[in-house]
Formats: sequence, C-alpha cells, structure tokens
Amino acid sequence: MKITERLRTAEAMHLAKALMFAILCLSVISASLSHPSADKKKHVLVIHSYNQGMGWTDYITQGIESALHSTDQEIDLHFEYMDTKRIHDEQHLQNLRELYRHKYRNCRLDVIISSDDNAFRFLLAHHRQLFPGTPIVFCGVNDFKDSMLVGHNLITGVVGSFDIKATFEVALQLQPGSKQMFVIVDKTLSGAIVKELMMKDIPYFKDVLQFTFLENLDMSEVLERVKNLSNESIVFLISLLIDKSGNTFSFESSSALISQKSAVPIYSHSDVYLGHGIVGGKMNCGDALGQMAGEMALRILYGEKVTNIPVVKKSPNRYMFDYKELKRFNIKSSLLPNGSIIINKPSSFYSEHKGLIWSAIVSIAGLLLIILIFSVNIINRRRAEEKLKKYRDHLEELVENRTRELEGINTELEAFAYSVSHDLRAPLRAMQGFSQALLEDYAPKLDAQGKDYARRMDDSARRMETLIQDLLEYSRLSRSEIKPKPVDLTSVVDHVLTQLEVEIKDKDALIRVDKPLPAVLAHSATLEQIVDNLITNAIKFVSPEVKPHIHLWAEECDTVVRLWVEDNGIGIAPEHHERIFRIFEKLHGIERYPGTGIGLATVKKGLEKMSGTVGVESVPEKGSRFWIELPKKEKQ
Amino acid sequence: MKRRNTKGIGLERYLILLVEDDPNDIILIKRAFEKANITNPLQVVENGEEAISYLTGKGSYGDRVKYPLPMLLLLDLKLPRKSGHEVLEWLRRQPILKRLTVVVLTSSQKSSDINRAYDLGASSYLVKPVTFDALVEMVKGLSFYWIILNEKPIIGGEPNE
Repeated sequence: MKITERLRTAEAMHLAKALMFAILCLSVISASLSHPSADKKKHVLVIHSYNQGMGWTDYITQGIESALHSTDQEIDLHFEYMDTKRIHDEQHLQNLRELYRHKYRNCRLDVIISSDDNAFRFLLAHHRQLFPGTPIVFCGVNDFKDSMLVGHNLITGVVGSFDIKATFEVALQLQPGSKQMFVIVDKTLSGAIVKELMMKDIPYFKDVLQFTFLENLDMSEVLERVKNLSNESIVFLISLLIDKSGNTFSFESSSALISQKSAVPIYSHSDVYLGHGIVGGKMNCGDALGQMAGEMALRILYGEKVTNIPVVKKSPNRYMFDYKELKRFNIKSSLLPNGSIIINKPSSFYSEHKGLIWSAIVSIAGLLLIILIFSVNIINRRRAEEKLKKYRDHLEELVENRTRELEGINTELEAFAYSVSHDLRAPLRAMQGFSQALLEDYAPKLDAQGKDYARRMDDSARRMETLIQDLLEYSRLSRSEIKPKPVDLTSVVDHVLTQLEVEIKDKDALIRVDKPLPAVLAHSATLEQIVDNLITNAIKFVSPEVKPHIHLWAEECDTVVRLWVEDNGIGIAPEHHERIFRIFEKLHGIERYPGTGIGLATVKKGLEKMSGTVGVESVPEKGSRFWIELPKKEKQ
Repeated sequence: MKRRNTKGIGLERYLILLVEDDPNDIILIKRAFEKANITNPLQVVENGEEAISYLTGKGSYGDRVKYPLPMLLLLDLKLPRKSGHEVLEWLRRQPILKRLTVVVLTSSQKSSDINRAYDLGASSYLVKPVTFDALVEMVKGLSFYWIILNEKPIIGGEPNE
C-alpha cells in the first residue's frame, strides 16, 4: 500500500466516524424533541390539614392550582387530606405516616405544599423520613415561629397571619359609636390560636370597646345572646365548630346559624364564613394564600434555591364584605376601605349584559362609522357636484361666448355675402349690358366670330348671375332659423307649377299630380323652393327628343309624409346618387344641361332645416324618382 | 284744371334726376331709357352730396333753367360721401322738397336696406336687374307708372295747396 493510499483510507475512516457521530447526535436530538422525557414532568404533592369540601381548604386548592396552571411546565398534582378537623390523634398520624411512606416510595416528588398548622407540623416532624430532600412550601400556618425552621433548609412558605386589629377598626368605621364587642370562640386549637392572637390587639381598643367572650357555650346559648344584643354591639366570630355539648358545626353552618339570630352585624378574620352570614372584615383568604404558596413552589420547580425564598410573615389578607349583609344592616358601601372585595353584589346591568352592551356599542359605533362614511361620501359628492356645476356653468359661459362669437361671424358673413352679391352684380351688369349693346349697336361692324365672342360674354354674365343667385339662396337657407308650421302640400305644388308655367310650356311637359296631397310640417317658402328645384330638374334633365312626363304623389305613414317626384328623364347612375346632393356637384357639361350644381344641395339643406330627408331611386335612361320626407302635420 | 293742364302739357318735359356713382350703370340706364323710348330729360349726379346741392340749387345748380327741380328722383343707395338713405332722410325733412317721388334703384336686396328705405319715405324700391333687357323692361314700367299714371304733387309750391 502506498502512502497516499493509506492516507486516503485514514481520511475515509475519519469521515465515516464523524458521520456516524453526527447521525447519533441527530437521532438523540430528534428523540428528545419528539418524546419529551418522563423526567420533565414535575410532581407536586399538596397536603391539607383538613378535608375536601371544607371551604377554606378548597379555596387554598384553587389558589395553588391557579398559580401552577399559569405555566407551561407540565405538573402532576397529588392531593392528600389529613382530615384532622375530624380526627387528630397519634394513631391517625401514625397511619398517615405509613400510608404516605408506602404510597410515595417510588415517586420522586419535586415540591410539597402544606396547608394549615397540622400538615406543617406533621411534615416538620416526618419529612426527612418520608420525603427526603424534597422542598416544602407551607401556607396558612398561624402558629409560626422562626425557631421552627432551625435545621430545615428545605422549608419555606406563607404564614397565616390575621389582621384582627384591622377588622376591629373597620367594624368601628362601619358602625361608629359601637361600645360592645362580643367574641364567639370554641375550644378548638385554631380557635385558641386566633383568640391568643386577638388578645394582643385588644389593648388598642380598651378605651372604645368593652370585650365580652362567648366562649365554650352551647350553640343555643350563643344564639340567645346574639338575638338580644343592642345596636351598639358588634359580634366577632372566631369559631364555633364544636359547642359545649359536643355538637359539631361546619364553618358555614355555624356562621349561618348565628347570623340568622343576630341583631347586629358579625365580623370575622377568615373568609370561610364569608357568604354565610357575616358582614366581613380584613380576612385571611384561602385562595390568595394558596396562590402565593403555589407561586413559591413554582420558583423552586424552576430551580431557585429554597434558602433564597424567605418565609412570608404577612399573609395576603384582604378586606372582604358580603353585600347582602351590608344591605341587611344598612351599611353604606361608600364607607368601606379602598380595594374592598364585595361578594354577592347584585351584578350591575353592565356586568350582567356585558356582551349585549358591548355588541350594542360596537354595532352603534359601526353604524356611526357607516353614517360617518356616508356623510363624508355625501359631502364629497356635494363638493364634486358643486365643482361640476361650476365647470358646467363655465362651459355654458364658454359656449355662450362662442355662440355670440359665431353669431357675430355669421352676421359678418351675411353682410359679406350681400356686399359680394351687390359688388359682383355691378360689373356683371356692365359686362352683360355692354356685350348686348355691342351686339345691338355695332352688329354691322362685327363679323360672325366677333358676334360669337360678344354672345359668349353675354351668356357667361347671365350664368354668373344665376350662380350668385343660387349661392345666396343656399347661404340664406344655411343661416336661417326655420320654424316648421302646418303646410298644405297641394297648395305648395300648385303654386310652384304656376310659377313654372313658362318652362313647362316651353318643354311641352306633362305633369300629373295625385291630389289631394296631405299636409306636412314645414316652412312654406323653403318647401316651395325645394319642390320648385325638383320639378325644374325633372323638366330639365330629359333627352332632347323626349317630352317630359312628371308624376307627383304622396305616401303617408304614422309620422311622416313622403312626396315623390318621378320623371322619364335621363336618370342617374347609382354611383352618383349621393354626389348629386353635394354643393357644386354636376354630372353634365354646361352646354348640355346648364346649371350651377347648387339646386339639390339647397334641397337637402332645406329639408335638414325642417327635420326632413331626401333621396333618389333611378335607372339611367329610364328616369328618376326623387322623394322628400317631412314630418306629418299633427292631428288636431 | 291745373292738373289736367300739367298733364296735358307734354309729360315728356318732366325732369328725372339720377343719383348714381357707377359710370357703367349711368351709361346702361341712359341707354335703357333710349331703348324704352323715354324722352324725359335725365340729369345725373354721382354722389349724395351732389344730389343735395342739385336739389337745393347750390353753386352752379342755382340756375333752375339749366338745372330745374326733378319730378322723379332715381336714387342709388351705395353712394360716395352721402348714402342714398342719408339723402332720403334729409329730403323728407325739407319743407319744399319733401313730396318729391323717390324711387330707390340699387343692387342691394338686403331686407334691412329695403325696410329702411321705406321707413325713410321711399316711394318705391327697385333692384337693378342683371340683364340689360330686364333693365329696359323695368325702365319702361317705371316711366309708365311714375310719369304717366301717377298723380304728381306740387314741388316747391305752397305746402298745403
């Protein structure tokens, strides 16, 4: 094996190793990603001193749960209820010890939370054996002393302290002038602890209140006493869970019974009674305690050292009151301390119909928004309209100005046309007159050619006169404003035929009119000129050897009348049917059919002015049929 | 009696005054009078001012033997210096001359010209025809109506007689 090959093999082996390592890493990572390890799940044990169903205990559970559920951390919660309200002897505790040892021997607990004194004391005594190394968070321990934790660096928690002094103060605030304080307390441990704490606060009120202890009495006795209290009295309930005769009561039922009979408001240090007949006070509330303990447990779960979390000595007590009781004793809620929690408050219209109100507000706001949008839209539209109107006015003004200008130009043109006709005619007269004079006076001196020339001058002058005359007529028609009126076609045709008598006679024309002809809406002078032009053409455009035969008749339909003028003339080739109506268009030389090329243009223009039309049907050599259409005279 | 006498004494002696600036028209009108066999003397003035001078006898026109007052005035409208309308307007305000027969003879067919002429007191309004034959016919008619048929007022005499 050559060196290079060896090197290559070594390289390949390195590469393979690296690859395998990478794959291994990846598979580990992916495994850890896809299967969160069982180790990640945290186990928390909650040990309650009392039983489930006891308000206080359940509040603490709620607080703990709400704190622990506020995190993404997956937590398995275990609950134990020591039930020491019901049974609290050495045997029971022994049994519990055995139970817990067996139950949790294979479960590695991360944190233990205890509620109230009994559970705390139990753990203090046994946690090293039962749950070695597991941190403990206590809550609601009333009888706490720093010395209890000496040698225990895995324990912290919230003390269950009471603000009895604050409760007395608030009672006095709500019932100024009170002189008597009746304290109801039994022989239970917690009752004794609270009483002991209360005794420390009594000196503050020695000038104001006289304290009476209804201690270790039968329930019936207590009820009898509170029934007859004067209104200068206040009742403070510590506990009456077991009476002198051994009758047991729950927190709730005891306070409800007493409240029912009591003539005066009842205050307390603990929220277990709230909602069951007491007015309120500054209260030790279970859920706040539980919440606080839960939060401390979380800190430990996240890795914080227990020794860094100091014991909270002042528990999160709150001013809490029952609206029903306040109402019952006519206590104004405005007198309550700021931040007070009031339960049983009749929900306001707002809170009861929050959704409805908000949806109404939202929909009203929506409607307002829509109205606003519409208003803006309307305003914009109005502005646009105003602008448009301004433009329109401006445009109208422009049009008016332009019309005036055009009218001015028209008037000028009219003046021009007349002056042209006048000025052209003078030299024309001279040409014609003198050529004629030449022919008449100097005929003997002129040879045939000279006479021919003079005659041509004469003819030209005459033709020019016709041209000017026709042009003036056409321009007059173009300019004039025509107002159609009912006109009888028969009389129009008759009148024209009378005027054309000479021409008709000259050509020996035969003219047949299918009378009577209907009435039309037209301008009679213009219509006469049109008919005149058409008949003149019919007479004129015939072959020299042919005798003109002209036939006029009318057709009527709903709204228009069509007048036909048919001749037996030379006809017009189809390709010329349009041209003939244009000004100066002529199809024939001046020698054969003299004309100016204006006649049919005048016909067309005249009809346009009267909302009419003109057309032709023709076969060359056979004849033409011209028709004109005019609006029918409306029936009266 | 007087009228009959006047009628009886050769109508052909009545003077016609032609106010016309176009020399061609002057020649043609004169020729038309000849062709129509109208022998009445024809005086010609070539503008409005001259017409007024003639009628008032100013300057060389003072000689009423040589330049007698006309019985008929043939008046063109488009004239240098003073237009035919102005002459007419002036004439109708002259106590002595106001009754003079005035025939407007012009090429204008403008309705404004026509109406104004009548407003100012024209006796008649004629448009010069283009063809000479038509002119001859017109002159014939003119003379027949205004010189032969028409009863003449007294010009230059007592206003109310």
